[in-house]
Amino acid sequence: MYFKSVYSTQTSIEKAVQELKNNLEGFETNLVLFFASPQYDAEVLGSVMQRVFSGCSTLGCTTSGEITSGKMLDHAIVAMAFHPDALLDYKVEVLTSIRSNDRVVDEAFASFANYFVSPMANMDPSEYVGMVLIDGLSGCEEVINERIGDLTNVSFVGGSAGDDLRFKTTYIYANGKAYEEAALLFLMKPTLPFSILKTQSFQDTGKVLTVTQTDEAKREITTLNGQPASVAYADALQVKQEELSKHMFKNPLGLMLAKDEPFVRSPRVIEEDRVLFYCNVKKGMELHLLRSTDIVKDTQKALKDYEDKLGKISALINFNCILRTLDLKEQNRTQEYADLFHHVPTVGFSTYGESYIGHINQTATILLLHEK
Amino acid sequence: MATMKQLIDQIIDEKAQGNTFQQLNVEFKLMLKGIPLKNIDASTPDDPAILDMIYSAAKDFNIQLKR
Repeated sequence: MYFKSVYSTQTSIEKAVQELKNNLEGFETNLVLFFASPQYDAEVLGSVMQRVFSGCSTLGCTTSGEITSGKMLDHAIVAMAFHPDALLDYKVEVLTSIRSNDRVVDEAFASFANYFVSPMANMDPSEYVGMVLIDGLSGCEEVINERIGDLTNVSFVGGSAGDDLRFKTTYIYANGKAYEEAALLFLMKPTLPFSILKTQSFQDTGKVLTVTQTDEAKREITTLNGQPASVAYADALQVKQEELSKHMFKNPLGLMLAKDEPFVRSPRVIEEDRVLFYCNVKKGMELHLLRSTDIVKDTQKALKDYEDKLGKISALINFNCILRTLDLKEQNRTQEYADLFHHVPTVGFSTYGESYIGHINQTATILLLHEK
Repeated sequence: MATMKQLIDQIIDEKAQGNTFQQLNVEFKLMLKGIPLKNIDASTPDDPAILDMIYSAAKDFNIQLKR
């Protein structure tokens, strides 16, 4: 067994981390990936994780809900221990001051190139895969993901750290420290075959809204199809403008390339006639109006398709949008969703945005490790 | 002039290096940079704003475009 997932709901940091350690008794590990509720003091937790798992790399971030095999939790720590044979090699870089330093990805990639003795541009995407965790309140996800994609064809999958919807501070954990305004890049060369599953539960309605005026930095659309954004959006949905906010959650917009494969752009709030989003949108983008479908069924089908195509899943890391989690909670279906992962070592969290090729919303981006 | 499609194809070919999975990824990357791929074919007249985006994407990818 290359991976083992464990969790704790103890409120005391010492007791929680010790419980993780006890539940990993007898499992050899050199790397522990963990996602923790913001109820735990971040600096203390980072330090205690490193002390208890001394000799291991300890990596992770804060969450808005935690995922482990067969459970969706709140106010918990979930962790996945990697056996030393799970990865042929790996390297971690912490990116700090991400709002002000636009060279952070280039600097991290230079370090990777030095370590792996190969420029990132030349690395084989079938041998290497990356994970990216980003401060979910930094607004830097687009810039970081875009720069990653500029410099390499290696896929990076991940999510934005959360803080239980307090929207105050999120933390990235690495090797004993907790970082604010930071991101983490974890480049690995797995022993097992791997794939990345991106799944979202929406259908294209066929209605298209073109962004005609926007403020990218504020993630705000001012006009769509030449009309005030909220007017055009409400018209497309055939609802009254004052009722639009009630419908946006189930009807976000999507940038489509392939059929049924949207990069979801989720509206956050309406301010006057402007619509603010959880990710940026560019002028000229054609966004398709989407209609929600069944998260549990869609995720189940996606997992099965990947398993049929690429082999049995031996572990997975799930970056699940908080908006999906809230939807599942509203429908009282979190256990049904968690049950999809009960048979396989799983770790994950409810994110403030998902990363894969770009920054996306209302999606689950999942790193799948398949059996040989 | 209608060079946009040809330039985009060059970027995709060079960045994806013949891998069909990577071709799709590069197309997504270009769309996220704001290039309206679906509306551009071999007969689409050049648009200076879109051409700027195409050249900027090539520079980001460290690709030298040949016209």
